Amino acid sequence: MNKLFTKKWLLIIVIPLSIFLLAEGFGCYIAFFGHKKGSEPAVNSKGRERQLKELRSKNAALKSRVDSLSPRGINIVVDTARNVLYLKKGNRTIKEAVVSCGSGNVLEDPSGKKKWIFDTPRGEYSVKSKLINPDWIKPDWAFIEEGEAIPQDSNDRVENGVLGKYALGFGNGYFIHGTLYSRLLGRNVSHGCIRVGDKDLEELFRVTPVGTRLTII
Amino acid sequence: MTTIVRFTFILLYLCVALFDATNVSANDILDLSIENELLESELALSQKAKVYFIFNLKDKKVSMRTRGATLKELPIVKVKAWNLRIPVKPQALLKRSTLFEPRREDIKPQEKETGSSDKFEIDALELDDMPSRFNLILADGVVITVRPTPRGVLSYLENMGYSLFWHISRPLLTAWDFLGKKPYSSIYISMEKMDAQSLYWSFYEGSQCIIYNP
Repeated sequence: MNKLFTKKWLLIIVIPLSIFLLAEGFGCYIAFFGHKKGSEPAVNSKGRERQLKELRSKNAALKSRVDSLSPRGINIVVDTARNVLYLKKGNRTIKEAVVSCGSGNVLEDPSGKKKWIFDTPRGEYSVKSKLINPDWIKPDWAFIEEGEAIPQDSNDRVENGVLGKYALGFGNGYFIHGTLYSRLLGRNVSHGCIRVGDKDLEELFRVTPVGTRLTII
Repeated sequence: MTTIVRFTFILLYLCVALFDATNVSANDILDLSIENELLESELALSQKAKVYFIFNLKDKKVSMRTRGATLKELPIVKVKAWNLRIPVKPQALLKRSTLFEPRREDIKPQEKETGSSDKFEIDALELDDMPSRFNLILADGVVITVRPTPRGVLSYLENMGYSLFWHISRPLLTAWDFLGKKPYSSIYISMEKMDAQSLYWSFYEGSQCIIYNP
C-alpha cells in the first residue's frame, strides 16, 4: 500500500513537477544567458572621447532632422477617442474644442450589396476645401438609415442648414462641420465627419487656410 | 607613517575616480548609441504620413507621434520586461488580442425610434467600450501585455495573481519558442484604465512602434 502510494505520488507529482522546473530553468537560462554578448572594442580614453564626440554630433543632427519634419504653422489634431479637437501652432495647443466623431456603427444596405462603417478616418490629412453655409448632399446611407427610398433626382438629396455655418473638407466626403445636436458634443455619434460647436467652428474656419495639416488619432 | 597612509588613500581615491570617469564615458557612449538608434528609427517612421508609437520604458510613457511631433502621451504606471534584447527598430503591430473584443452596433433602420424621448441612449463604439486588458503582438516575437492599475482589494488580488502567472509562464513560453526557433520577448505594462483603453483605441493592426529600452 505504502509502496503503491509512493509510486503514484512519484508519477502524479514529482515527474510533472520536475519537467516543469526543468522547463522553467531552461527558459530562464535562455532569457538570461542565451544571448551572444557584443564584445566592447578596447578603446583608450582618447578614442572614447572621439567616439563620444562623433555620437553627440550625430545625435544633434538626427534630432534636428526629426524636428524639421514637425509642423511649424497652424495644424489640427483630432483625438477621436476623447472627442477633442486641438488647434495648434507648431507643437503648441492654442485652442481645444469638444467635438463629435464617428460612432463606429455599421449600416448594411437591405439588398446586402453595400455596407458602411461610420468611423472617422484616422491618419494624416489636409484641409482641402472651405465652405460657407454648406448644403448637405445626402448620401445613400442617409436615406437607407431613415428607411426612405433613394431618390433618382439629385436635387432631392440637397438639405441645407444641417451642417452649420461652415465646413472644412478633408477628402472622401468627410468634413469638419457644425451640428444641430450640440448636446451630443463629446460623444461618438457622427457618421464619420467631425462635428464642432458653432463658436469653435467659426474660429477654426477663420484661422485655418486650405492646406492646413489635419491629424486624426 | 601617517603621510604614507594618507598618500596611499589619495592614490586609491584618484584611481577610483579615474576608473569611474572612464566608466561613465563608456556608459555615455552606450546611451548615446541607443538614443541615436531610436532617432534613426524615428526618422524613418516620421517620413511617412502615419501616426507611430514609442514605448519609452525608461521614462515610462507611450508617445503617439507623427512627423516627429508628440500628439498624445500615455503614462505607464509599472513596467516589467522579460528577455527584451531587441534592437531599437520600427516594429509593426500584428494583432491585438483580448478576451472580449469591442463589438460594433448594427444600425437597423426599421427599429429607429421616431418619437422624442427624454431617455436618450447612444449606441456607439466609444472609449468606454474598449478593453483595458489586452495583449499587443508585435513582429519579432514581442508580446506587450497591458493591464489596468488595480483599484480595490479584489482588483489588487487579481492583479497579483496575474503577475504571478506572468512571471511563471514567461520562462515556459521562452523555452517553447526557443524549441520552435522563434524569438520571444515580453513586456508587462500597467496603466490607468482610461489610458489603456486609449492605447487600444489608437494602436491598431498595422501601426508601427518603437520600443525604447536603454
